[in-house]
Amino acid sequence: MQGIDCQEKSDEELVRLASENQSYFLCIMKRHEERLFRYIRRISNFSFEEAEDILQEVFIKVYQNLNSYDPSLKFSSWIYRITHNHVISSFRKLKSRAEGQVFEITEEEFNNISGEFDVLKEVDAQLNKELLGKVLNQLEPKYRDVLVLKFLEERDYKEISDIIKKPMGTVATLINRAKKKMEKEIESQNIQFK
Amino acid sequence: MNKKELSQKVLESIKKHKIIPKPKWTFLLRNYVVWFAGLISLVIGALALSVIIYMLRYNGWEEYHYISDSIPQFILLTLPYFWIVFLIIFVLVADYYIRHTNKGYRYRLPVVVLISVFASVLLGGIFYKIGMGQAIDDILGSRAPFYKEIINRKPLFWNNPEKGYLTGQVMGIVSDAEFNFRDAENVDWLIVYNKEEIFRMPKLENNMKISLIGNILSNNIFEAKDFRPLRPGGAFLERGMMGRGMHMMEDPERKMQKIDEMRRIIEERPEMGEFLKTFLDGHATSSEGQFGRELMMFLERHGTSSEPILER
Repeated sequence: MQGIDCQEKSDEELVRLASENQSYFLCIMKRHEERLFRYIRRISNFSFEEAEDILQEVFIKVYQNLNSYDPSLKFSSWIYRITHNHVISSFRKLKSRAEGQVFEITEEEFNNISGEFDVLKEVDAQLNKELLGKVLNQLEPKYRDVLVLKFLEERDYKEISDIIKKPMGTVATLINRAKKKMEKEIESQNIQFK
Repeated sequence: MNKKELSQKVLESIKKHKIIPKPKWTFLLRNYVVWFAGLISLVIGALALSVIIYMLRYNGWEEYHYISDSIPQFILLTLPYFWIVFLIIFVLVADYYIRHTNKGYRYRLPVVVLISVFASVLLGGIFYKIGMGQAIDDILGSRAPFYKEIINRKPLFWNNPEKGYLTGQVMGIVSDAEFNFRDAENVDWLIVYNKEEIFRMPKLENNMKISLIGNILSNNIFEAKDFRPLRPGGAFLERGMMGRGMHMMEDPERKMQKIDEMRRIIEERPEMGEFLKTFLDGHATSSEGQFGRELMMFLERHGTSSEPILER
């Protein structure tokens, strides 16, 4: 990527430039591919290779729709929205989900989410992450999506609203319900572990 | 994940398949189309509401006891269900489109529905005031199939002579105490009334659509005690009556043919000449039913059988 300086440029500037020069689109991809890849795996349970294919398709869609980007929206919300929608439509095409995938959570992310669930304090520390990953995997997609966006991707309510295209009030309701379901499930799983 | 490889793969795919960003106008157009569809749905819903207001305004609330035993029963019988369902459908369609605009998703469904309903009520009120409600009902009444079965059951509802309620059309003024009338079931009546006893006596005219309150005196003679305008369903009544064949005396050409025929009879039978000639000259503008009855009465008074003449 010779002669292209992306470091100082904002996402919004890169979008404007990328529609004229494809090299700037490379900057957008490099900036966002790692966390989008992780996001895809968290909400989909796709294998590593499947997730890579999905991410490539997402970036092509992003490129095709560059001119639809509305600067009043955060660029990250917009690109997460395209990713989220593409994962859902890929589910419908495959009509099944992969099983047996491990939900990857870093230590920091675990600390973010475990603070929300008192019940996790009762669980053996070593089993915490495993338990959390298992329970998240088992949640209904609409609840898992909002919890992943809130606690693992650290999006605020407005960003989540823009990503999943639902009112903020609905997002708050979904998160509350998701937390209750998580607690219930963690408790019952904890009993099994014991 | 091999970062370099994935990004490069994407760029190579873009170059290979000559993928280019879609032009901005396509997204703007899509958004305008969605907004436009939402607004059109709102306007259609408002038009439906204007018809509802019109039909409820002239629902005959004061005479509910002619067709039902109680107000709640009357309401259930006479609500304009077709238009209510129509309104609900288009409010929901408008909500769907509004929520699919670029920023419409930010508003919760109850809020969008509330705004749609409010806008429909406001617009619907304006449409009603400028006469759209009546205009739509008239157009559908004159053309729509299943009008009386589905859209507006009022014309037949309010035609119950045994209960003292007639609805139909004035077919000819006989005098200032009598007129000929055809009801919604195409039955002919002679209406008699005393204008001194009628509150809010309207100015009667031929082809006027009207409802009458009163009682049956004898075969096809109805005494009217009160008059009510009939607006919802008026155009339907006109269609129903015209659709069964224009009556002879409403068709000027046919009326003149009949009169010419009578004149020919006068020439062939001079003994009938004088009184028929007098009769025809005085009744050239009458409707057929009136013409026939008055001819019979005229001939009876002059002691002459009408049958041989009428058979020709």
